[in-house]
Amino acid sequence: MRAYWRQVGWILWKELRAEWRTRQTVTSMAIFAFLVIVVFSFAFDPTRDVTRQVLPGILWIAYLFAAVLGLNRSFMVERFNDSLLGLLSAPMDRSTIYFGKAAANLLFVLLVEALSLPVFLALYDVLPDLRLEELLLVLLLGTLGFVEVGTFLSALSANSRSSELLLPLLLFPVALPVVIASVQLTAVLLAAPAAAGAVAPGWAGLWSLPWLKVLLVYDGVFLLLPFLLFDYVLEV
Amino acid sequence: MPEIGTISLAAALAAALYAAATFGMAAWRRSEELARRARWASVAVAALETLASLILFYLLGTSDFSVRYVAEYTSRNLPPFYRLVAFWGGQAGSLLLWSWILSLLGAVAAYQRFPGQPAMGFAASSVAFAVDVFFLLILNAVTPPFARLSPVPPDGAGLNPLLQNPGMFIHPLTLYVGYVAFAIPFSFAFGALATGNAGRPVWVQAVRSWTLFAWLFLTVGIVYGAQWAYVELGWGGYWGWDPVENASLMPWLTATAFLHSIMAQERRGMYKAWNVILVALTFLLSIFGTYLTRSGILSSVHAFQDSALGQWFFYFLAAATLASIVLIAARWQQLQGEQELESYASKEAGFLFSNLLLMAMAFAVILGTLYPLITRWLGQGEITVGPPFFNQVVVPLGLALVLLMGLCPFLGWRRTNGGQFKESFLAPALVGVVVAVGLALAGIRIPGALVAFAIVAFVLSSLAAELWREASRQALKNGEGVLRALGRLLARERRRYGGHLVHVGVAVMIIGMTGIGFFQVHATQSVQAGQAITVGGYRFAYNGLLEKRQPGRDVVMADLEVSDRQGRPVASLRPEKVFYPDGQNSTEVAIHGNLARDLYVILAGWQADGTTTFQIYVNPLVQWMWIGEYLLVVGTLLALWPGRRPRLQGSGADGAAAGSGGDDGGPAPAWPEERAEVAELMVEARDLSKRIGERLILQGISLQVPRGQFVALLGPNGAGKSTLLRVLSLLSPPSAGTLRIAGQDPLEAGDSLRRRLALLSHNTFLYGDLSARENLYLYGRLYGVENLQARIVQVLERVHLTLFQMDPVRVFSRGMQQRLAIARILLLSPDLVFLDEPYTGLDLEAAASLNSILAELKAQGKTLFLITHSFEAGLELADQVAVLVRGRLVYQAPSSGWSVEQYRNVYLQKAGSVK
Repeated sequence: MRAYWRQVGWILWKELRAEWRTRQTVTSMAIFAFLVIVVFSFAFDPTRDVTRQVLPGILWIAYLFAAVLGLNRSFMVERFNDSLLGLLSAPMDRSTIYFGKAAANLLFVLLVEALSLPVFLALYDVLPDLRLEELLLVLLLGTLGFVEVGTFLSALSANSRSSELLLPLLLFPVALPVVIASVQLTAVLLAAPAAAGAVAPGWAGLWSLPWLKVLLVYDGVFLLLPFLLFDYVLEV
Repeated sequence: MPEIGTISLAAALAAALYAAATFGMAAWRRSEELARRARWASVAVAALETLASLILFYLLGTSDFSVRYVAEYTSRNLPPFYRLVAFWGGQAGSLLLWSWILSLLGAVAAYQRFPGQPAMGFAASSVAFAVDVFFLLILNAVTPPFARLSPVPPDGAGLNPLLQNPGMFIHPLTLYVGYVAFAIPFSFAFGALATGNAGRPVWVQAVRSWTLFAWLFLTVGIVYGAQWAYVELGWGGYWGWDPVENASLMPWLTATAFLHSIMAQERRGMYKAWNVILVALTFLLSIFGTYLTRSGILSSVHAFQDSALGQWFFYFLAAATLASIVLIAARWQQLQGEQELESYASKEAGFLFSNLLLMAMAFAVILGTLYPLITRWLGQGEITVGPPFFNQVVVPLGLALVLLMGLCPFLGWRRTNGGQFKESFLAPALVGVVVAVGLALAGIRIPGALVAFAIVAFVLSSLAAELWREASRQALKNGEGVLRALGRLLARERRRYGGHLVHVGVAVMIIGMTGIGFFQVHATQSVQAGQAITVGGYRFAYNGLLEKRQPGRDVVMADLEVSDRQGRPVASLRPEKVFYPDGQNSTEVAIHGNLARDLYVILAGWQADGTTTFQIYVNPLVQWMWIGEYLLVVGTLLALWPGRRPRLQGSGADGAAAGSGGDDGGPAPAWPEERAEVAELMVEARDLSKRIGERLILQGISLQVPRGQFVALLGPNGAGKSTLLRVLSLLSPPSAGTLRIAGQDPLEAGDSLRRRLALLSHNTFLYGDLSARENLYLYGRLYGVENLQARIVQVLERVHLTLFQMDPVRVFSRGMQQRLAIARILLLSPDLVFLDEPYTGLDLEAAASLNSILAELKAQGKTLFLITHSFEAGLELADQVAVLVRGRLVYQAPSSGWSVEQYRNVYLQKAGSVK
């Protein structure tokens, strides 16, 4: 088992190293997220109640679409020089490739979120009654779920000719539970008028909603699925 | 206990997700191995949901009021039977029932095999479990049946009195099985469309029996529902065109249409697209019905209103509809009929007309049900169309349909012989006319009723005549008694006569419907004890009220003595009103029935002075409806009963291996001994084949490569060289045959076996964004190379890249990249090197240096396997040559010391000779 995680670690190392050299993925994702957040801030007046209601949507649109940019590249880079074949012929369980890549993608997206969240909070004036720890947890779980599925589907779609198109088409329907759950939870945490009031503050209140459980189950399931299926996804 | 239920539902969700995904993947990869895992998962889903359901039964049975569902739908004084039946008395429970049934049916369907087209079954199971995922999501997130209630109430709210009827056991259950079971044909339609099997016979077989199964349950559910309404709701009728009733009728109509037109597809390859659409429509309508009545957008007697849930159903319905449309559109070409309609006087046309009538009825029902919504959208407020609308539209269509039922036995496939048709049509038509005239003479003057009875008589006599004609023909042919021939005919042609029996059942039901529809007599009257009411020739003498206390309820009943026109006593009836402690009350109808009529009395109310009000109905012929139902059930069972079973069971060979070598007779050669003779084989392949999708890329490949040999494999483009290399280098498993690498079975040896081999290709496998050093470092780590840093320095030196080791590979020239790729091989130091056109794009100097390195490797005792279609380089090292053409090895020989010219000749001869 330790050997397994060491292999995962080396794949992760490779991803981080390559990204560090170009900084292409993170840069483009971050710029995209910034743009979405800024453009929406022009479109919606931050002082109005309506804006409060659409905030969770804006936040997750920015992050998820940015994530798709990165996920698309995740297995595309392996097409150059056919390097995926090199990984596949290495003497290791192939799901290590998945976990290494998923971990890298998660780090990239989290980095983008860390960079743009302060901008978001400042631009939309939600600092006063912010429940930061809970929000961070929801961001983490939601991003994790999305990246898990995204990495999986990225591998699946990378072999097809129109993979840039195929990935979002496959990803959003499959990740719908994560998207819905994340947006709902964020709505509660940002105290959007639509969802506020009904939920008690603190962890217990959050737990009383089904959404956190949906996220956990989903994250758990997609942590397990690649163990079983990834071999077949990559089969050439 | 409830926690176990919650956990098993969550686990069921996970398992269903896994089953859906894995089946999907299995269909895509055509992998029997994956399907086997998915089947286990499907069993797990069914087991987990069964466990959850048993727990709910247990909680209901033991009145554990700490569970909200138990507290909301049962109470302490509820009889044990109804406590259990309350399982499907409410929202969460009935959804659990849905999902539970689906998981059971899904698990059964998952084990069905379709030789030749295994992928269709996999895809279908994937869809079935995806549908189950939807229900499990709802059960886990929206209406958890095991939710706790705090504080725990001392007693529960009890079950709706209307639901406390023995019919409550059977009616929802059968209806649900019917609804849910339509998900399976739907899944098969989806699976067949996705795998390109729609319209093929294998699909027809699978879908027909599942639809018939679902149809049977839905029919029984509907008729039991009608019976329940008649006995329990107490308004004198059996069908009120309530949205919930209509919701069950809509899919029934489309399913009925499907069961007919599928026969035209089976026999003549017609109406393919139409049949797929009907299957999809049936399932979508059953979900739509659920949505309509669950969401509260239409009000109904037995709707559960919950708008949050409605949303879920809406999205699911929208997604399923969209997916169906897209898939059907994508496969439209494949769904074109094989035959044209030749004549309007044919069975095919009969099916067409019956389908049109059924669809018209379905459309009318949908329109009528949605009318309030439509008018609301049009801004005219909710206008509800009542039973008159439905009766005026649906009844004539229904009668036309029944008439068609009588004509159908005389119609032949393709075209009908006119003379024969007239001959056989005449007698039944005459019977119909005689019945109508006779009834008119007997004093019945309602045209609608006369038409209905005439049609029923026509249908029954035409079905009987057809049977008799066929039996006597058989008897004549075989020289046996007519009765004996009849028996054999019925036994042999179960499907045909099962269908006819269903038609008889329907005709018999029409008798009942006509009776109550046209001849019902009704009176509402208030009387004192001692007085009598006369309705429809019967005298109902009222003797007063009685009261009875039972645990949990007070019963007040009225005592009535009924006598007929001649004053003979007929029955004593006791209609009841039942009062429950919580203030609810219900009405128990008193019914005395025989085949001619039902006497149906409702105790409407009473006043302090003893004046008691009764509603009394005399309902002629109602019982025929229930008799018709039983005939229908028996007929369907006959049609379903497996006769000469068309081979659906797999032969044991799994799909992936089917069609490849394997079955060439005799026992497998004992090749362990063989192996002992030739020690140290690095590659042993026996009868390998590889299938990608539908295409067989490699076929019957057998070859042996001893350690230290250099094998050159030649072949034209598209011969399957790269595929062979991928199979041999363990990148892709063979579809059939056996493979050993270094004496080990790859499946047993696992991933570590790959350490002993490496692949050098014209693609370098290098990462452009990593430096030369980092590339080597990564692979060295992944392969577990010892003393890595020193080895990297060494191999970089060997390929003369030390100067550039820190530069990203992206900026390297083609030659430098290939040198680095060679360095990778040197670093990993495998025993077996596969070379896939490694000379591509190399200049002379680079090629020469590659040559010298390969010679070096060979000298070290490494085994090399080269594939190429060029004759320029590498061949001088070869010990063996093989030629691959169109997936087969057509030539194999030792070739040490051959000149390039010799290779060229062999290649031209062998590769050319196959064409």
